Amino acid sequence: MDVWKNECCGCVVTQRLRGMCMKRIEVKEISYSYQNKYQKIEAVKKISCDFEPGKMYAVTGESGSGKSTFLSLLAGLDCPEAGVILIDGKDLSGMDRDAYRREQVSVVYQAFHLFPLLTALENVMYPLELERVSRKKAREQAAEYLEEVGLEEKIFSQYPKMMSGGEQQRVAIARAMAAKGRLLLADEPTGNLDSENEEHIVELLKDLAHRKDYIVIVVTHNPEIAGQADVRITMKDGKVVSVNKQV
Amino acid sequence: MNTKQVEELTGITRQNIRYYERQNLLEPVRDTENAYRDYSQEDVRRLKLIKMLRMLDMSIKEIEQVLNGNLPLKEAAARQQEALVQQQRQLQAAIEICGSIRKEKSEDISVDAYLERMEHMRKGGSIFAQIVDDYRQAAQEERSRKFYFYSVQAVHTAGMLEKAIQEYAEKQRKSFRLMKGGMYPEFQLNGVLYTAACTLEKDMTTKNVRTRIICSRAEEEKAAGNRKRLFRGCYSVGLNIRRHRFKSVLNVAISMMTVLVLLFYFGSLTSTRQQFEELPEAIPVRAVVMNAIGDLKSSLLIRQQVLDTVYHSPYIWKIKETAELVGESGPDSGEFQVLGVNCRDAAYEDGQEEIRWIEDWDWEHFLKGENVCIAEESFLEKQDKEAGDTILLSLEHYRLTELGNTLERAPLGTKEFKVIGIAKERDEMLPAVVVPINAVKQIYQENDRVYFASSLAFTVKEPMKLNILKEQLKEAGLSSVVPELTESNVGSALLIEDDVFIQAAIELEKNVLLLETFLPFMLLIVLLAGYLVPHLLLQGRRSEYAIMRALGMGRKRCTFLFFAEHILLAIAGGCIGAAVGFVFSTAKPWTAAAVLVLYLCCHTLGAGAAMWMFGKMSVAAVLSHRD
Repeated sequence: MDVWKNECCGCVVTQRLRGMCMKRIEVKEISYSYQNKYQKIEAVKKISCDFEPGKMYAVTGESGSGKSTFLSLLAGLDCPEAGVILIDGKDLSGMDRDAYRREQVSVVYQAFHLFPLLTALENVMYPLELERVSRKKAREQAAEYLEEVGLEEKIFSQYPKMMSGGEQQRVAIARAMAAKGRLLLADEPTGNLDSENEEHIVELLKDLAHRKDYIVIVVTHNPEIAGQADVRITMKDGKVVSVNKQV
Repeated sequence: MNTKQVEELTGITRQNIRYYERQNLLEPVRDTENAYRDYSQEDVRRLKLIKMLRMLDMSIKEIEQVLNGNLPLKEAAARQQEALVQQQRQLQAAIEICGSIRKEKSEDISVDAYLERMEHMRKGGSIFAQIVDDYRQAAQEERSRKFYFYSVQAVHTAGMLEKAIQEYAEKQRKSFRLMKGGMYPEFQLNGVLYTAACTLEKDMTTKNVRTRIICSRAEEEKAAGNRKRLFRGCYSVGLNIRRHRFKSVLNVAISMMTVLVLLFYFGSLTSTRQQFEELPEAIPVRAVVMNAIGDLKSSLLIRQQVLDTVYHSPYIWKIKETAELVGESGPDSGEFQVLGVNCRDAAYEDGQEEIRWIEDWDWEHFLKGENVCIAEESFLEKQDKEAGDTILLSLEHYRLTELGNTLERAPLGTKEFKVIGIAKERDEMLPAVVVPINAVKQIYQENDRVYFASSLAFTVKEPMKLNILKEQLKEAGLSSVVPELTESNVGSALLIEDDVFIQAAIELEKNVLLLETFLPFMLLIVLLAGYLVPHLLLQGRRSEYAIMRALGMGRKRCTFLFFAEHILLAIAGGCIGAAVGFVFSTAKPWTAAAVLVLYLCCHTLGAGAAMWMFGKMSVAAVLSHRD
């Protein structure tokens, strides 16, 4: 045992400015459909559920059950046709959704969606520079986030095509952490990863939820990942069929 | 060396190293490109010293003073030793208490008695006071870095939040300055930068929902000011252009080619128009008065009415008029031709004559003169005269016979002329004496004779109005040549050599019309190119756009960045094309500039439409590959 203490509080993000301290997300009877001139598909039908910080939620269901659509609604990328999403009591549809995406929510995708012509460091710097942090400070903080997700410094100057899937997803998570928000949405984050990397990513997400008080919502069809979540929400045909709190 | 190596050398974890850096105990050199830390041997030594001093439980603040040289190590060690001895004394009390408790015979001890005893010891400076002080200290530090207050009224909008913070500042007697508005405003209180967020919470006593406004000190540097934002925008655009090199070069090349094609088109149009306008000079249309059957161009009788019409017509220039007379200068001189002329070309058609003028005489003065003449050299020798001498001429003119179809000679009068020029004989066709036409007309007038010109030729000034001219001359009595008519010496027909001109004019007019008709299509093509080029080049960057939007960049800003990138490249390509066109072709600078402006206007319209369509994409669909 070390004689002297581990001084660091273990959370670099507390040194940075924190945006809104999100307490609760309430989803009330939201619906959304895709339509063209030939047909209309109801992807989400009257879903209601709540989310609290400090927990990891898994949204599971078969393909076409509306999970990703639900996630895009929570991310503010689409607007529900009916119902309301309340972020700490405030209606999301009445908010500036660009500011919401910038300051309150981050999304991690199955396809990683890193900027292909930016290095790992520059990818993580991007949301900081959007917030007008100076380039020098953004570089320093981005480096810290990348270290926090377990990436070595040799990765910092690599482009996404030179990284493995696991490394790319870690960069995506670091970029999500660099954004101010405490709501992290992950759409099949381990879909393109092997089992070892899958485990690491899930651990990272759990760490964000439990240690750093994030609201982490993971869309997955992998039952093992769903089993590790605090709350499992099952969807079918656009509806929530069950909400199970794991012990 | 990197962090991992330092970890291994010092035995200090990465997290602690970062912590010491944040506490300003350590500042490794950073790589400017990628922010890597590069620890030196000095940094490693420093870390080991920090570790040692922390193991001695020295405070961070004191260690900072030691490292900065403000506090000598020995003195710091002495102070720490004293503090540890003090602690030891404080702990001793606790050890004594523990020892006493152990010695108690039963588990049932008098807690009150011990508490009283410990309270007595606490007043003497026990360990418990330290903990209370720690709390106070941490609370104080936290208070300055972060604080919160409750709003009297509910806060729903950015304006209400700003008002609540302003009221708080007034209550605390602190100066308030808003730097950035919104639901997460940035503001200064007494010059210190903070940011705020609000949350709803339930008051446990009143059970009412209230708004807590949490203010945290902002530690990042903010790049403020519109100029810096503009600079950052330009910098981002420049970086993107560099990153997408191939597409950027392609964009520039397409713009350059388009401008070159436009320059070529407008150059062709301009030069064709110019050729059309300069056609009368390039292919002059000449006309000559002839007799009715068209076999005589001279020795004609051309009436004054015809002469008046020709001289007064705005469509005619370069008129050549002659009047043929027969002269005698004495009984032995013989007859010779005297030719009255209105211009040099009327006297000597091929222009190869050599005239020796006396004094300062020249053609201009000769034609204005009255009693002057140019004599042919051999003629003058026969007359035994020289330049400057006068010569008396008896003149006869031609007139129609009574039958009206042939010419006869009749006396006109005598006149003395001064020889002011000698024409060198080249062939036998040179007239013996050349006089100004005005002198001839004067002789006719003096002798009360009706003047007729012997020949008349001219150049049509405005061939496009030939038909009008023909009408005018027809009214004056000149018609087309009709070979079937009776032979006559009357100058009543006009022969116009306009075949070549008309053919060329028709061809050029057709070309100009074709090019002008094509102009709207050219502009449409440029407009379409302005739409298609960005539309196609940006297809591969849809996900980049979607990611930027997903990260919170506004649609307008995002679309504008892409648009600015494209337009800058179009401007660069257009300027290169205009410069190349100007250098390698006959395009004038203003033509190249006008074409460039026209191209940019059409291209910008098309590109704007393409950007508008691009910005309408569903971000969610692109990111989830549903598009």
